[in-house]
Parts: sequence; structure tokens; C-alpha cells
Amino acid sequence: MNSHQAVSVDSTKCIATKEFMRANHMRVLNEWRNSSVREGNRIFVAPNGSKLVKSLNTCLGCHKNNKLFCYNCHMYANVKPKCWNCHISPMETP
Amino acid sequence: MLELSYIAHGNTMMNEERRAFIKKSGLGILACLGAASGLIPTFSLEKTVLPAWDEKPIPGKIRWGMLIDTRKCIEECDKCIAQCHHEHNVPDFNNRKDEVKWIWKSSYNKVFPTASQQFQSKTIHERPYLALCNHCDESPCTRVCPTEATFKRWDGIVAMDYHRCIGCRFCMAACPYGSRSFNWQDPRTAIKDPSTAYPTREQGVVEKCNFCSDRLVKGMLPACVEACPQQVMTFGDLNDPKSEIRRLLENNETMQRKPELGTKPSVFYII
Amino acid sequence: MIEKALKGNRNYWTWISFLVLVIVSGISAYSQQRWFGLTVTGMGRDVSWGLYIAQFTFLVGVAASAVMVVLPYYLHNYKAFGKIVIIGEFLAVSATLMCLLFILADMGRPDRVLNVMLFPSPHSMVFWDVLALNGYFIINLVSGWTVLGAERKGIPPPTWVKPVIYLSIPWAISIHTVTAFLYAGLPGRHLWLTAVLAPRFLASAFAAGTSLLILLTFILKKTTGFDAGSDAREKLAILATYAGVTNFFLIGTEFFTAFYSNIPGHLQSLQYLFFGLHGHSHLVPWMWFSLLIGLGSVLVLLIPKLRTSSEWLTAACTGLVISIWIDKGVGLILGGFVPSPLEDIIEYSPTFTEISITLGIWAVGILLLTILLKVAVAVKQSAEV
Repeated sequence: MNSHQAVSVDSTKCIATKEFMRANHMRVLNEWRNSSVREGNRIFVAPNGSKLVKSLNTCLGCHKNNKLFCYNCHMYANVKPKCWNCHISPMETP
Repeated sequence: MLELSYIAHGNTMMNEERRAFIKKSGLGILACLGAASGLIPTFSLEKTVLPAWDEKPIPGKIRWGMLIDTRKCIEECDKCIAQCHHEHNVPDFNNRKDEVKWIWKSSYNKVFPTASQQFQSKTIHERPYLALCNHCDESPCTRVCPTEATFKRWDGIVAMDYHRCIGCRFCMAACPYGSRSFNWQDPRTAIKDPSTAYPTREQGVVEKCNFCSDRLVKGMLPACVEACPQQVMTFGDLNDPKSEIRRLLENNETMQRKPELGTKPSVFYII
Repeated sequence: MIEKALKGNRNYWTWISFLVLVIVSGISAYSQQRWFGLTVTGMGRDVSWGLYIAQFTFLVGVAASAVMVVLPYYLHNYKAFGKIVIIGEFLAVSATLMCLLFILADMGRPDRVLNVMLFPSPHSMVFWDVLALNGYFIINLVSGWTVLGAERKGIPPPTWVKPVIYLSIPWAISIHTVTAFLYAGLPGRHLWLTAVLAPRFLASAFAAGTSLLILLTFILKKTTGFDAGSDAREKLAILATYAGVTNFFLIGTEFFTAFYSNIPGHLQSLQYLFFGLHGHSHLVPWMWFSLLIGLGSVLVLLIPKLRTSSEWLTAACTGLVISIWIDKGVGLILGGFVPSPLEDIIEYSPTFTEISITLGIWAVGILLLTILLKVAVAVKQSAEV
């Protein structure tokens, strides 16, 4: 397979179902981080065969239209993850 | 599989290797950039491109290294430092105690304290010398880290996992080169010219030069290497006998910092 | 049995209240540190470890010194130590707790402390130190408490306690050796990069810890009437004497290697500490005070007539503890960072916040020790009746 085939953006599809992501996005991020930072394995192959970069920016790249994307759910669920202490949150970008 | 043989001190005349590099990676990257434009957010978050290779890297295949030609470094210039610190959101607290630095300039007797200091030539003595993390092959810092928050990557880079660091500062005690800095307070209050293309760190973790692994993954050279107007730094694969850095190492007399400690640094200096 | 700590006279409760006050002020200072970061301390990029790690280093030694009473009593049936063993074990518990607290206080991200266990790194000495300290804490607390409980009931202790106590003997040596290994394997820090560091740690630990134990028996005698016995004290004093002699001998050997070899890396830190380096001599008065008071104390201990006198013994033990506290804490830890890897000399002083937190942790340790000893003394005094 051509190693440079880019990912086509389809906002109806996430890397997994909405229900799965709601429950497990923290684990996905943890596993992606360990895989790409520690093993150099940066490519995630989604079930539908498309390839994605294992990065927070992959998520943010798709969910770019709603600046409050992460914030809204976390506010509702009353969780305060520390991601944005370091990572640049969608709310902070111009 | 792309061969990543970078030539850093690009002359205005492109040589053969550079053309080959561009041929191989340029098409790929252009394709990525073009087609991935949907991935790139309209606001300037870190650009997501598929990296220039997509197999799991083989540990030890590549060993990144840097050669600093100190003869060309200008006293008053600090473009490499400014660029690095800007791109990586390195804070500036304006006091020595809390200082965070990834790369800086120092003097011969401080950068090479175990080398001979007697009757040193004036030119050599008065030149500025760049100091940064040496990304040692046998790094004491990774040996002492109790959580493997700092670890040696497959490509020789001594990496930091800021998510795991407990801030014990053992690595700072272990580093024989003083390359590491700790966030004694919240860095976000002191970032002069922030970049949204790279995260910041938080209070309580250790940080240091990362050999621009964030840029390498996009097929770019380290920020300091690119920013230098004198092309003082050559960056490349030490394991590739045909790389430019190896060629220069072969043809010049070079030095390392404190070689007697057995750390096997990946940073070399032409004096 | 813990209820025995809840009954006390006016002096007892005044003492407890004082300790609680110091602890509260320490907690308040610590919350400042958690909020603003470790910038509130005197530590910085060049001297990245300070008062906290200095206390930790000294207290690991004190904790390890329990072996000086446990080994003779349990392994060799040295009956004279019968009343003092529990004091030694509880001192070890208290000292170990303080060590763990000082490490926590020094960490940039104490909320991530479990990472040390979640991501075990056997190549790191800190990993082994954390295991060793926690293990030692539990071993001593459990064995001391169990034996005491059995004594209170007038029955022999359960058989499982014996192997646990035997385990504490090599474990004591190991906690201080592994702590020495934290420093003695770092290629860039030449003051620490010496094989003699582990033996030196043990010698100074046995000198300071035993001295502290002797002082404790005097305090207990004065405040509760409980006397561990002059036999025990005399024996401990002899042990402290030889440990002290060994400690200063080893310091002497360090001086010899450093200055005779004339290798800059080797001698610069010692030069900074004892003679000043390039005009920086912040710590020189401290180091000479430590050396002189330490040597003086050892000299006093060497003279039998003085060693057997309570006043001289108290003075010598106090002097030895202070000397070693300065040498191990101030001298060793701060000296290791001067000169810096780039040959700079940055001098360190702790801040008020840092001192407040330090005193708070000492107060926690002393409070625990007070409670444990109150129970021990109560049990032993009622057993005597």
C-alpha cells in the first residue's frame, strides 16, 4: 500500500463509534501516546482500513468546528482532565 | 521505506544527495500535505501529516547526531536559541534559579572542562560554544529515571514523556552536562512568544532538548539547524556511513564533551 | 494498645500540641509549594536538590541504625538491650516515615508518585529505594508492635515475628546502601562518585543513629522514669564511638584521594566545602564546625571516664548527631552540586517556606515517635510492676 496515502476526512465517521469513544477516548489517547512516543508506531489503522496518525491532533483536526468540543462534555460530566495544562486546547487557538 | 539522509548545511548549490532526498520525500510529503489539507485545522494547531514512514521503526537503525562547527558560530547571534525556544514554548523567567533552557551558548572551559585549558589559543578560547542535550548513547539520565519518563528512543534520541515524569530530578543530578531544566513554576506565565504548534509543559516536570523529534516526524530538520544563518550545525544519521555528518566527522578533527565518562554523546564539535 | 497514647499528663499534651502546631504550619507552607511550585524553595537549575533530600539522606541513616540494637538482641541474645530494642525499632519507623515524606515533599509531581510502582524501572536506584524504605517501615512497625503487644499480654510473641525481625537486619543495611547507590553511580558528580560512599553512609548512620538512641533513653528517663538501662547505654556508646571513628577515618581517606591525586573533578567539591572555591565559601564555617564538633565528640567518647558520665555522654552524642547531620545533609548533598557540570558555582540557601515544610515533617516524625514510645513505655512499665 502506498505509504503516503492520505486520510480522507469524513466527519460522519470517527476512529470508532460515538458510544465507544465516549467511554474510551481516554484509553485511546493513552494507548496512542504510549505507542507513538515510546514505540514510534504512529499509524493507526481504523477498522474501515483508513490510516490515521496516532495524535491528539487527529482528533482535533476533525473536531475543529466546535471549539468547545472537549470542554462541553467535560463540564457536563464534571471531570477536569489535565490535558490542557500542556496541550493547546481548541479554545486557546485563534 | 524512505531514507532520511538530511543535509543540513545546505549550500546554495544543491548537491546530489539533497536532490535525491527531495525526490523521494517531496512527492510523498506534497501528497500528504495536499490531500491532508482536510486534516489540517484552519487555525494553527500542530499540523498533522502522515509521517514519512509508516512501519514501526527498527530500534537502532538510525542514530541521530549533530556536528557543530564552532569556527563559524558568531558571537552576537542567538538565532538557534531563539528559534528553538520559540517553537517549543520554552519559558523565560529572567532569573538563573528558575531558568529553563534547551540550548545555550557558553565558553570553552565550561563546555569542555576536562579538556586541556592551558595556553589555549585566543581564538578558540574566546569563541562561543553551543551546549545542548547530547542525546548520549549510554545516557546516565535514562539509567536513573525511576519511571522511565525519560528513555532512549529507537532512533537514539533521549526522549521525555512529560505525562509520566514525577519531578524527582534524579535525571538532573545524573546528567554530566547540565542539559536538563526543571519547571520550578508554571511555565505558561513566562512564555514570551508562544507557538500553538507545540504543547507547553507544566509545573513539576523536567524538560530538555528533544532533537526536534516533533519536526523530524514531519520530515523537517531541527529548528536550531535550520535557523542558523551560518549553517554551523550538521544534523544527520550517524549510522549511515554515507551521510553528510559522517563525511564531516571523517574529514575533520572533532571533540565531544567529557568523553571520559563513557556517555557516548551524539553531539560533536569541530573546534 | 494505642489507647495508652491517649493518656498523659500536662507536659505530654503540651508537647503534642506544640508538634501539631509545627505540623499545621508545615502543611500550610506545603500548600504554597503545591500551588506555586518548587520555586518557593531555594533550589534551582544548578542546585536541584536541597534541604529535603539532605534530611532524607540523614534520616535513612538513622532508620538503618536500628540494626545496632536488633542484631545483638535477637541474633546474639544480648539481654542488656532488652528494654532498648523497641525504642530502636520505633525510632526506625519514625525516621523511615520522615524519609518517605521528605521524598514526597521534594517531588515536582507527588500526584504521580504511583508511577514508580506502575512502571517499575529496576535500572533505577530510586525504584529500589522506594521498595526498600516502604518494606523497612512495615517490617519494623509490624514486628515492634507485635512484640510489644505480646509483652503487654504477658505471653511470648508469635513465631512468625522472629523471621520478620531477622529480615530487618540485612534490610537495614540495604536501605542505606541503596541510598548511597543513588549518589555513588552518577558520572557527573565527582564528590559522590566514590566507592567509599556506601561504607561512609553506614558508619555515619551507626554513629548518629546510636547517638540519637542514647539521647532518647535519657529523654525517656527524664520524662517518664523509664530507664532502658545504663548497661545498654554504655554498650551503645561504645558502638557509637567506633562508628564515629570509622566515619572520620573514611572522611580522611576522601580528603587524601582528592588532594593527593590533585584531579580537579575530585577535589573541587571538597575544596568548595572546606576552603571555598573561587571566592565562594558559604558553607566553609558549617563544614569546619561539623568536623570539629564531630571529632571532639568522638574524642570524648573514646575516654571511658567521660563516656560513662551522663553529662559528657549527652554532650558527645548531641555533638555527633549535629556533626553528621551537617556533614551528610549540608555538606554531601549541596557539595555534590558545586561546581555545576558547567563549572559554575551557585550557592544555595533554603527559603522560609522550605524550612517550614522541613520542620513540619520532622514534627510528624517526632509525633509518631512520641505516640509509639508512649505506648511502649506504658506497656513496659506495667510489665515491670
